[in-house]
Amino acid sequence: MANILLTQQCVRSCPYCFAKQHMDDSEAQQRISWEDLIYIADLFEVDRSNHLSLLGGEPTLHPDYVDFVLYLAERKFHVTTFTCGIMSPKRLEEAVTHLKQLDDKQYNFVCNLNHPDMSTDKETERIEAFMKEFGQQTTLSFNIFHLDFDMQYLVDYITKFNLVPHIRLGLAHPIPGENNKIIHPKDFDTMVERLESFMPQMIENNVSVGFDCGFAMCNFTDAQLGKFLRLARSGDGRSIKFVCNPALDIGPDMTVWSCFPLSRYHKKSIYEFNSVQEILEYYRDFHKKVREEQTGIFKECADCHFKECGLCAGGCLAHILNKTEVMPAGQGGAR
Amino acid sequence: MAVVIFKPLEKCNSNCLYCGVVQKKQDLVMDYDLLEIVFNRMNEYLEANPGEKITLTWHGGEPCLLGPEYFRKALDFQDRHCKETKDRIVHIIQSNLTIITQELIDLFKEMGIHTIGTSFEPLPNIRGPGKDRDSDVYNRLFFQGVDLVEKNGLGWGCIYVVHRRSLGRAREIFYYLTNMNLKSQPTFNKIYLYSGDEHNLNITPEEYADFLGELVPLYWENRIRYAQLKPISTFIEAIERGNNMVCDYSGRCAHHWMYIGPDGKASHCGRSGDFAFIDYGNIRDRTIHDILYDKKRDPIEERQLFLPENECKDCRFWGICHGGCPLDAYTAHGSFMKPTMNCSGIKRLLENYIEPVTGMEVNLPPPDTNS
Amino acid sequence: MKQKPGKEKMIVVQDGSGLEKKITKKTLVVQVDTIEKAVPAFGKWSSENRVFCVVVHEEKPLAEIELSEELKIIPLALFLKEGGAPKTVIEKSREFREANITLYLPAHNPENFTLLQILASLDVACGVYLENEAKPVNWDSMNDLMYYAAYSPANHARVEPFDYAVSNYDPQEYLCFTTPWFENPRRFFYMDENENIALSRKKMEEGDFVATGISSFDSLDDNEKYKEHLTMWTNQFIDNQRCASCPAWRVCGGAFVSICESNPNYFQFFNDLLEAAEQNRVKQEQDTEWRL
Repeated sequence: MANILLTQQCVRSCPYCFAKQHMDDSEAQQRISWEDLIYIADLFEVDRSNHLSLLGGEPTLHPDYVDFVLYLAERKFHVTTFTCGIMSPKRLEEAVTHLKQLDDKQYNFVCNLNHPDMSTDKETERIEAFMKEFGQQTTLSFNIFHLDFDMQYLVDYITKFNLVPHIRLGLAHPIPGENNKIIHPKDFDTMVERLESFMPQMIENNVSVGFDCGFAMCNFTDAQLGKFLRLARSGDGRSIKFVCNPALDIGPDMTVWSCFPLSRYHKKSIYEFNSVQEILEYYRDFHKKVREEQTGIFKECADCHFKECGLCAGGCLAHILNKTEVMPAGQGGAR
Repeated sequence: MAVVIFKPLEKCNSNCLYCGVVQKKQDLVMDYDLLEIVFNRMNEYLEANPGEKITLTWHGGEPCLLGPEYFRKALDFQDRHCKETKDRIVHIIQSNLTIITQELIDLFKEMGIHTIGTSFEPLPNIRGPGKDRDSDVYNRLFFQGVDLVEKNGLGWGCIYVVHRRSLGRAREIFYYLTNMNLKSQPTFNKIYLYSGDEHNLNITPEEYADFLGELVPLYWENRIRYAQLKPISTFIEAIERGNNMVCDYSGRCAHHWMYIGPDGKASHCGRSGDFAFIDYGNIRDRTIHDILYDKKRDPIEERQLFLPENECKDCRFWGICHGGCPLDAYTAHGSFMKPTMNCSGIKRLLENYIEPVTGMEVNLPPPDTNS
Repeated sequence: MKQKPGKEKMIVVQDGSGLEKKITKKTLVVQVDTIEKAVPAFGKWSSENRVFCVVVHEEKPLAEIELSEELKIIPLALFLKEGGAPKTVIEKSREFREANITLYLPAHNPENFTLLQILASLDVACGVYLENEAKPVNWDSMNDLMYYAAYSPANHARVEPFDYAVSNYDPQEYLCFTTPWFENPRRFFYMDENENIALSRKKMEEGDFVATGISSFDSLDDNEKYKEHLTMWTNQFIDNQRCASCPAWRVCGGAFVSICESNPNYFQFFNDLLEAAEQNRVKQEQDTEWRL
């Protein structure tokens, strides 16, 4: 799966935004063209991929957003749109008119939902209008960027708008060299404890959770791991993972990079590669080289059995490159 | 195989600026008696040399001026005098195609001719009939001839003579000629003038090399499109595969080539016959074998041993060039025991153009005779 | 068209010309001016002849084109004046994929190049055409579309005239790249209601005929005017016109000299098309996979 940035513009300014640097470095008005989208679709079709994600900035800002989804769906791609849910009424109407003709299985939304306190009334109104129409195709995404986070509102939204009963949990990743809001690795166990405190509500409302990249296994006790496993969407716990892999983000200028936090590292033109596999190999190689210098975000990662057998990646590469201080065990670091 | 450059006439319907043959204004046409002798001589040679072939290259002047009756006569003589050997006579013809007719084509087909050699000039007023060399008329007739040839399923290949007015226009001429005939690429020959250069057409070997040099990358990068481009492709093949060159650079023309003129005079090759540089007597009186093995040819053969010990010693291009055309040496120096006057041009073409573009390096010095 | 390409000669007739009762045992291209007439025309002209294709020169926009089940099974070449919005193209692609159709859009509208790429990527055979030499064309965009058609590794439908050029290129033959537009004096012979024969649509409109009479069609190879036309290309060489020395001549043939003179990208397009054709040929020759 790859992430295609349709546009560099966004309607929000989230404090934890790890795409911010990339957008600051890019031309605001830049939008992907049809020809480039077709090129990317071709590349991934040859690779036999059948899933593409649309990102931004805010992808629904692109004037051809709905057409793009229709087009990719026609080409048998499943299309996931990562959105903040804030669409203009005109765009929403267009989406409703056309996307609803598609099979539900052909598209879905991942809505990054900040706490209502972080949104204006108008923004909330728009988000709710979007959820009213596309709730059943929408999964919420929540980025943890400070320790006293609240998740109750997420459950409330799921219930109110009949959203997909699942929350994609993300850790706000550092932008190396920048100062975006993140959770420091030394506070990961505290973060996990807080996360655990919301489990009863999740269970009660039948809401599962899944981890995005960057979580470290050693920040979870066995009991905590067990609880989260029970909350996983699929029975085998596939959504509970401790990975850090190249995500493959493709910009509207046809540059490609490993993932947003690492957008300044080894950004290449997509045309330098002949296939998706080549791109993946390139960035996996880059990841490998970094981890050869420093295995993970904790000192213990170097000797960690779970790291060695691939159960845990050793935390987010961006933390390593950000020269995050490696904490020894017992001091808020690895348990 | 013996190659006979057969010129039963030197007359032509065109007045090409660089043609020394036309300038001789020689009206003589080989009579039928002599023509019959030629076929008898061929039969004699082939009977004595089973397994040998003779390539009879009809040349001129313009052979089509001989008319259909002449070729019928030739076929008749062949049938009568070469009953058992005619299968080993290969007819080739070189014509300007401007007066070719269906009747002639039918006869050529009967003679086993599948391809007609020709030559062409895209630049105006260099080839053409009359004093002013009306190239417009010439070109129209040429293309009509080409159309007729192609309709009859025959191929045609073109020689281009590189002269002073061609310089600086290599690419233009190249594209013109390769567009004109997609089935066969042109051969670019250097101009030879033996009877004065009134029109300032002569070029130096270096200029010829530079003209070809401009085409080397075009050919090399587009070999799918242009299967061959002589002499460039021939040089490259010789470097790649060690193929021996033909004619000028083969080093093997001592006993394989001969010329027969309208009066039966024999000489070494087309150029030597046209300007009477070498005299091997007359086909009336001499057999083909005697002509091919005339003592005067011995130095041409000895040249291949002499030059590697002398001026061509250690030359890394020897294996390609073999000292070049012996006639070039003879006309420039009065002796065969010299390399061709085009030596500097060949080296220039190979060193400055073919080697850098292809990445190949020529390293074919003469074999060490002491080892 | 999903028929195997060949070299057979075809008569291009206008439906309603009254010739359907006079022409027999020929291969025809039947022209109609609305898509609704395509099925009846196909039926009518097929009774005594083989209809290679029905060519529709339609004024309606793509959004208003409806393909009935009957239309889907006849070979159609649909020349439209406009393509419409991408949404329309995407939605229409579903029914077009089920049909034996090639959809043509004019080259002078730059948006059409995008639409054609969308169509081809959605497996709808399509093509670009030059509606009128006077209307300017963005040859860079033409080149981009050609690149897509020739080089994209993903499966896609034909995009004409590029597909024709690349597939039929032979270094030893001249290529008539206007063939997908039914313009090829060796293959398509336009006949009007008076049985006048012209060698192109434009010549038919101008009244420039080479022969008259259905019976003269079979002996066209001996027709002097026709023979003269076929050798007209030599004038470019005789007069030493610019085209004669152009490396791309073997795919362009000097078809649109006036455009070339005013637009340097025209030459670049044909040069790149020639390269694409050659690369395809190499690829075909290297394909040693055995197959039954």
